[in-house]
Amino acid sequence: MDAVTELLRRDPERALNQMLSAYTGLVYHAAAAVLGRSSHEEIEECVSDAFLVVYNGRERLDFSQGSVKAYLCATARNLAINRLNKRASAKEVLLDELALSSEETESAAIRNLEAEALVNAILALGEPDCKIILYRYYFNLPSKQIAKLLGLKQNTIDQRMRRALAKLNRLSKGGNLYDK
Amino acid sequence: MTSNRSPRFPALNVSQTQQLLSGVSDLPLSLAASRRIRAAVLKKAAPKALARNRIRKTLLPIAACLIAVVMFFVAFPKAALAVSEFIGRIFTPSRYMNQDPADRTPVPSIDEAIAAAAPQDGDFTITLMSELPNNQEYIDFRAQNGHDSFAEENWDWLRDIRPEIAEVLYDGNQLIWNTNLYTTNEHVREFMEGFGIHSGSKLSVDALLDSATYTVAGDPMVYPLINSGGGITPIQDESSLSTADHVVLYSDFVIDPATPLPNGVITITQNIRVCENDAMDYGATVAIITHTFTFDTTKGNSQSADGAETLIPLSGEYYLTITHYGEGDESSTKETKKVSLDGIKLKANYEYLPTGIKVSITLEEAPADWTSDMISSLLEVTWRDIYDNFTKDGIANDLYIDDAFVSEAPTPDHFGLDELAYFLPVFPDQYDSNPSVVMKLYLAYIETYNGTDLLNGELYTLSSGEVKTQTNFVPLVEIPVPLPKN
Repeated sequence: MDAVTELLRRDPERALNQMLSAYTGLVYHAAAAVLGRSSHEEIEECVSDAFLVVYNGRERLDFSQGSVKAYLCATARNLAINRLNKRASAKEVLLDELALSSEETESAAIRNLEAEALVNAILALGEPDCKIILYRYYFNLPSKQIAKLLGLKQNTIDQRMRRALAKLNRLSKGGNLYDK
Repeated sequence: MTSNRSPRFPALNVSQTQQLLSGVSDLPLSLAASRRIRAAVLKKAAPKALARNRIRKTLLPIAACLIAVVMFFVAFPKAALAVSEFIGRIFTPSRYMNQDPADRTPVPSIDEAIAAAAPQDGDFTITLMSELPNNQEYIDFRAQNGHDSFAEENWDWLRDIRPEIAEVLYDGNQLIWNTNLYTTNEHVREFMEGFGIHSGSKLSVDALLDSATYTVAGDPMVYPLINSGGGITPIQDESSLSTADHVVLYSDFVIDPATPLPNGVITITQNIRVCENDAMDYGATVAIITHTFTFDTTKGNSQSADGAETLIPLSGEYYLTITHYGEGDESSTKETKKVSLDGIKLKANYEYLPTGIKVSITLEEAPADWTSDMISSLLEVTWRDIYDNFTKDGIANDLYIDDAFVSEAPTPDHFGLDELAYFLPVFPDQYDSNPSVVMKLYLAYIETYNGTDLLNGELYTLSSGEVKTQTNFVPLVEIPVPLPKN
């Protein structure tokens, strides 16, 4: 059990402050990746609600399954998906939005893999590719920002991302994750 | 290649998210968004408000016990001091505003700030529960929480309550106001039921701020205020209670000093929830009072003097208790080891407010081998308990004025990560006499933690449950607080 999770049981008020200091950015980007970055108000509502769900549910959540950080991100993402579903049911999808770019064709692998297999496959990519995929597809950060976060050039990020996606794509088609 | 269409992960459960995010720390976010989210969460969670109200309500029944404790401790000056601080010697603006103005030891600059706010009442409406548009929610709440059905004849008297704004204190950092709720003496007593003062009535009444907003002339926006605490102030002695024709509702608010209230006269609208039984403990709403008033923020937005900063170099070897925060599945641990503070520089920032001097201490420089865990551990806040002991590690701050110990410096109602913040009860009218104001910082460290001998190199893995520590402390540094020259 990590310190914030432990503190949440012992001193909830202080833990809430630490959670807000430590994870607001992470939770925000988890929700923003689903809702799109222009929906500031919706994103902030999802993030606030995620903090409240975890804070208010602290007595019944099973923290052996995951830390406060994991609960916050998973909750924010689920709340964002719920909002997106409501939005989608109220709006028709334009045809051109369905046209996949080349990057998206490859990223279809991410959608095709089962969640458990996907997580294992991404972790098996190793560093920094694992983080590149995570930042790009879980948090939907642009490659420029990923480059800054990882201290790599943007070209390197783009190149590594393409190779990592290709690996995941092979796996989704029953191939081997690892390059020979 | 960029695209507006976001590729999506499938839905992940918590343990899959845990696996995926291990090793990922926070991501950058604009300060404004962080603050908005923090404010929204704290407003809804309102843990401080709950704690404060409970403390206030608990204080009265144990007051008699405390008096006995005080009598006992007068023979032991240091312990006696600690006890007196516990029951109210330490000055804070919230304590000032919680006292009856007639009983306060006046602080001229605060009284000037209160006068400068010049609040003026506007309109008010009182809506009984049965007339509220969402009254079904309240009916359901009563049923779910074992209350009898709402009986209008019991609550009709609420229509005659008259709210009046009594005092507003605003200093750019804090906003506190008191609202008088005028009613009959019989009903004042019913408001005191929650404090253990029995009125003989079958009703127990409470009131609490539900929400508040402000508007500015010429701007159509309605701005929310974030309530951080409040409740009805108890009337403790029978002679005051016997003639009381109103109760005082105290309310305080979080103001971000980076975005103070706009200058000039603003209009406040407050919604006050009147409840049957404790408003913070499943009390059932019986009426909503909506009350508007105005006040002037101009003086509150101006510091009494320009701010100042000083650097505080540290040096020497000290025991430091370090909490190592585990990532993901890793456990967090505590250890105590001797570290050199050579090369550490703290920065103290001073703001001179009518309500005291706000001192914020942060890290300015640290040697490259200092980890974030070490920095956070050094800047932990600690304090003495009423027996004059430290139970946790961190920095404590004693305030001396003209070489006389005044008190432990009160910390403000917020926790800044890696920040030590204090409000010193030193006011503008004292600047001219140029007293020496010194903060003496002590560093407390843990020797044993639940029996683990940290001092001899053992590592304690944090887990749930009771914590028992044995601590020690040493003087760390003395910080002379610069006072403005008038």
